[in-house]
Amino acid sequence: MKMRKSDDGRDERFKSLYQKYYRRMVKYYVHAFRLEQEDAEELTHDAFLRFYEAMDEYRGEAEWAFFESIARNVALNRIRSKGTIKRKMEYVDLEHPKAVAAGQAAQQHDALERKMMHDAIAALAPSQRQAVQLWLDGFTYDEIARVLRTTPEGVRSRLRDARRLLRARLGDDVTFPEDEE
Amino acid sequence: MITKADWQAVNHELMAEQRRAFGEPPPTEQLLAYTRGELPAEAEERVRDLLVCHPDFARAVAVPFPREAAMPGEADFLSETELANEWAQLQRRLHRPRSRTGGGVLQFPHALTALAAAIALVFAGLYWQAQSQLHRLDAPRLVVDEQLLQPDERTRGGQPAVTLTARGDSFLLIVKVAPEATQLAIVERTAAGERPLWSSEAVPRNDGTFAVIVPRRFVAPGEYQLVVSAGAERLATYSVRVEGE
Repeated sequence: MKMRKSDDGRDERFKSLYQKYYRRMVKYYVHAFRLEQEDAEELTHDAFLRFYEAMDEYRGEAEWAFFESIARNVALNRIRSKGTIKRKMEYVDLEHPKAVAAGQAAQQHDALERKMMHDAIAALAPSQRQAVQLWLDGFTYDEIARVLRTTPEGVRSRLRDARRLLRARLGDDVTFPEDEE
Repeated sequence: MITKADWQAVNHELMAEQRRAFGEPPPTEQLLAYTRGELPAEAEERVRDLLVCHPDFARAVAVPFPREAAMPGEADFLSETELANEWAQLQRRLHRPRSRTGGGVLQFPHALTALAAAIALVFAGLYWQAQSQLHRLDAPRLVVDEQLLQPDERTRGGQPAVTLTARGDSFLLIVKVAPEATQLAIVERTAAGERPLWSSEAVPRNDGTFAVIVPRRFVAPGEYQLVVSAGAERLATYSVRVEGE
């Protein structure tokens, strides 16, 4: 890796950004990528080092946009390299509910109910289904809006319509997770 | 009574099905273009579907990137002492050879990624000097086939993707990486679009080149593109075709 000789002006500019953004970046990595503090600090170092090596070509707003690209890139590559986090949830075999039930009527009922829920979600319009799935995964309205590139109001509307359709398919007494918004 | 856990279990099952149907998460470059609203509608919809079934990636998009600088006196603002310590650490890392890639040469980590193309790239003016010797019998061996390729912009309107002719046990892929390059990726090009197969940080060797070894047995016929990028910007692409033996 070709390294530039120390450049006081460049170094000072870098240090100033580092001083103001280092902890914010660590927090960002912890929150956005669900990393441990130590991993987040390491990624922050990686991102700033890469930025340092090429920062002379950018100034002002372009400089921070460039840093954002590097920082996201570094973290996304980390996720890719580790693979998607395995979920601890036990899955139900929706295609063979009888196998799950194993002769137990209550479990068989539950499995059939889940299959109906599964099919009802899958039958929603894509924009509603996407919002519902993110919502069930714990995303807030604001977060869903950013992921789907829409507004929080748009998300609220999609979720309201989706719940209505799910009730129509599953029955009026169906209950949804509590809305934390 | 349907519980929150029931809904989540159903959702996770659905996401697993979608991952099988839609495939791998979107490449970083495409994801960044998506966040900036630069993708055409069809590609944007595909990225949405991928994000929904890869929630780790969705969360990366969902959390706003920090834009407000910490000011002196705020808890997030590093003290001069902290900054001096951090700066010393960074300086040590800046001048430390990067060993993560084993001397700058990567081995493909597993068969899935190794479906990638076989490419041998040498930039004009930068010759790969290594002379690899083919040892028969059981000795460990590396066969290096070199093939001079031009970046796509130099062949635009002219030649199609170059067909690789290497016939060794492995292919040595060599590319000159510009100092600002941050990532190399190999994508498979199909009628449906691009499918990312492998990516890595662009960590060059001392001569400014980056090398990857691909075992030939993992190479499938098809069209591929090696992409050198800096953040969201594509610096250079190389299109190649691998034909069946």
